[in-house]
Amino acid sequence: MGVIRPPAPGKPVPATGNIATRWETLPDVTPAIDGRPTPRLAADPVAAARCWGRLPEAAVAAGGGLVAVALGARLAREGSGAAAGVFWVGMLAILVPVALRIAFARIGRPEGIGLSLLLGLGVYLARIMRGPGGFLGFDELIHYRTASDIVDSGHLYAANPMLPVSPVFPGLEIVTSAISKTTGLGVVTSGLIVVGVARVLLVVSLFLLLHELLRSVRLAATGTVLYAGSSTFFAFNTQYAYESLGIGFACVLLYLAARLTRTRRAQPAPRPLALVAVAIALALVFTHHLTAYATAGILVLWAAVHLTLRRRLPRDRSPLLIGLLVVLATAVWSVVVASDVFSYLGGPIADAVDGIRGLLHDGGSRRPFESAAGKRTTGLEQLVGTAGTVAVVLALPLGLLAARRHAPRRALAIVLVLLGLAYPASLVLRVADGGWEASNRASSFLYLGVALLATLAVWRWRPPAIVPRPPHLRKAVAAVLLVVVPVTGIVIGSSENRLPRPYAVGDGSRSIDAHGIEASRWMRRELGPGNRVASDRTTTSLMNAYGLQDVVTSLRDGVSVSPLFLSTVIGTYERALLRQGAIGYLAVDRRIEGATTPPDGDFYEPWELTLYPDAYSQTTGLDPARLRKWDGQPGAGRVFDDGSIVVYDVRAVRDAP
Amino acid sequence: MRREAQLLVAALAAFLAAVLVLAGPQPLRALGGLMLVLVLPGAALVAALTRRRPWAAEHLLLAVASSVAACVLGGLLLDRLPAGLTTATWALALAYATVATVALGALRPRRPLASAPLRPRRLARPTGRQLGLLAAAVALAAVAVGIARASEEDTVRRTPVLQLWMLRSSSSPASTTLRIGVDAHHVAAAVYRLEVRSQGAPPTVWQVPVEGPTQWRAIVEVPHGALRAVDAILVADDQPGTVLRRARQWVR
Repeated sequence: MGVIRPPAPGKPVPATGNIATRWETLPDVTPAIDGRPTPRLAADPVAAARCWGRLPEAAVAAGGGLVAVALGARLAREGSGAAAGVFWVGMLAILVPVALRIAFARIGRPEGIGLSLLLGLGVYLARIMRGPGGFLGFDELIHYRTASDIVDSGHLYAANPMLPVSPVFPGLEIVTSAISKTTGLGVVTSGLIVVGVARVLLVVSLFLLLHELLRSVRLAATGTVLYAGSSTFFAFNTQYAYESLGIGFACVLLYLAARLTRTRRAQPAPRPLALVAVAIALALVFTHHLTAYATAGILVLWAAVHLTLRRRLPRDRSPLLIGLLVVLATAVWSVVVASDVFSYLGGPIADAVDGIRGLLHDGGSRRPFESAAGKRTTGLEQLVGTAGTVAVVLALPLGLLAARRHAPRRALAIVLVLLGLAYPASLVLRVADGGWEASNRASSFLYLGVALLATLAVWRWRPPAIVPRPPHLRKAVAAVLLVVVPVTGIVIGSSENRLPRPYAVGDGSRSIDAHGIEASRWMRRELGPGNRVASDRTTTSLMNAYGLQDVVTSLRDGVSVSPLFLSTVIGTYERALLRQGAIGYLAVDRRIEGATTPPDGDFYEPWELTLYPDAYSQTTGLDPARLRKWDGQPGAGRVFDDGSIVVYDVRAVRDAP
Repeated sequence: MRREAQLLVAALAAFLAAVLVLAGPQPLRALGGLMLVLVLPGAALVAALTRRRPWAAEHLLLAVASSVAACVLGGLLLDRLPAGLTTATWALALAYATVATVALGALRPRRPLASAPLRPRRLARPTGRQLGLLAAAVALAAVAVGIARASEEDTVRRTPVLQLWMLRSSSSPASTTLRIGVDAHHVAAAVYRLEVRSQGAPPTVWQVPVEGPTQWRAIVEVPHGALRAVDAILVADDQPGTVLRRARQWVR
């Protein structure tokens, strides 16, 4: 039954009389296509085709792409050289249909959001094909420990020796625990669901935020896809770690800020939505420190820009109040409960400052597209990565020119533009020693602005009249960018860890295998949790995550453990270290014997070669006698041996007078 | 659906989900748990706070985001209870939070709608073909996860893990008790020989058959004496000259 509705103010009334009549009497209309409402009939195939467009076909292509990525992962486990090619075929099957639809078709809002979600979830699922049965990343294992502690004990804040700040920012793990407890699913599956939900929040809120600012479905979808060019989109923010949920919360908050301060008369935001924003802001504060600080900074900057532009604060001050709430809550939480966060963040900040200093003095020593161990990505990937980065950087000034004409003079849009303009500076940090981490983390936020500016450059920048404008050139450029920029994000963000690889010593997640996991489970089962264990980098992570052991780390305990493994003798110094760290067990990975400098750069601690310069090098393997010295030590029980990992009980050596 | 009807549905769904979580069979329990954690509290909150239905996407976003946020804040509060974060406390807390939000929404005074014009909200229903394609896409994604999971398990199966361990169990005035274990994961069926040697004592030998996942255990009593090593050595029964695993304890 039709209800006569007036057309929305500011909305174009359809020109022809017939359509106008239908518009006014239809019970429903589809959401806008590029801001223009279009009529539809419920369950009408034509209306359905208009509403959903080619989303189902793109979804099938993405599903096929995921199968290809999974096959690529299988080939990679078998050491096949074709694995990378199959992986990229799968990724292109996800990206290309999305890009073509956005660039060449008139898409409606449901299709625009659907395509954005397809890309976001497709990339997330492609990422977890590497190992869907368990967490592999260093950060993931740390947060798995915190989540396991909460699920097992039913209480928060149990100490996490690998990352003392993790238990005091427990948002991610609380949600994981809630899902695990209520559904009966395991911690890993629950964690994967939480990160998937966080990805949905990020993508949908980003789309709505850009739509709020740009008032176009195509532009919003373009910006959302271009955000996938951020180096954190594929790998970092899809891992089971607190920033993955934090960035989702942050983006929802920014959208709500834009929504609450909407100036148009149509569809004003319901004021009580501010309550929703408050809840999300508080949840963000308890989820991730850096994201909370950055979000608070953006909201306060937004208010400052608004004040500068309009000479007054916005009429609806709730976003400003929410920003101040985030600042206040973060400060109180950080000082009262999470005071470790300052020392934790101090290290990377000092590294970044040192990196900048080094950059100014010697131009920086880190080479792009090269891992810490000196391994470089393939030439084609370097080419695509460079092309994508250059294209994005070139798009920024063009986007700025377009923004002057076309972007709304809304304070939040200006803040995002400022973030985008800071992006090239962050790229410089990537060649500085110690600066890569800061640059990578900043990318999550700076790319919000990059996505906005690059979108404006693609669709709104008008070249000078003398420049030829072949038909469809703009759409073709858009399609290319919508593929190349996300590929760039994957290349620079995931290095060589996008596919599983055979076991290797000292090579991050590659060093995790059944030996380490089962040894950790044995510790927990037979010795119980909470023993003081020292080991190499990988085994320490596993003992912390799966063994629930009280692992010894220099970060928390201030004890350097590398002498216990790399010294040639067991002397007074080594015994003193055992006592100082109250170390009860040593877990020795014998596969390190004979190994040269590993891809991680070290086996135990970054400074180990400073202490033992002749322990190993790029060409000389580690002398097995250094690791086997505990075999001949009276009192040191060799309590566990699986052929790769040996556990020594050194309590008697430690307690000997 | 009218706002009141939405609120009522949210309350009933929360109650049903809590029942499923606490007493339902597994697939339904998982569904109930996911709805209770990720959707219902937020959906009730959005329905209670907003007088007009937002876009489907905005509705979904706000419902899920506020559910997750409520879960984080609720977890901080549940932690203060002696019981902590258990299945029962989560189910009851989330269900009661949803119902309380519904009650709050029902109590809010009615006011005339804002002057802004109504906007269309509903989405066109997908055709059968579109639904079929979307179902095919979901099926393909499930196949992909299945392939990745299977290849991951293959890799684990191809990594045999044979563990030998020896731990001090207890000590009496006369002797020390040692627990010895052989654990095997994905090891091919074989028979191993375990020898335990102590200085000045004849070795004790066991045959350890391994077939599938194995947890073999033994207890050894070692009489007190001078400080000495007790060695456990695991060899393959058909290759007695090659020591596969070795453990040692020092006893006095």
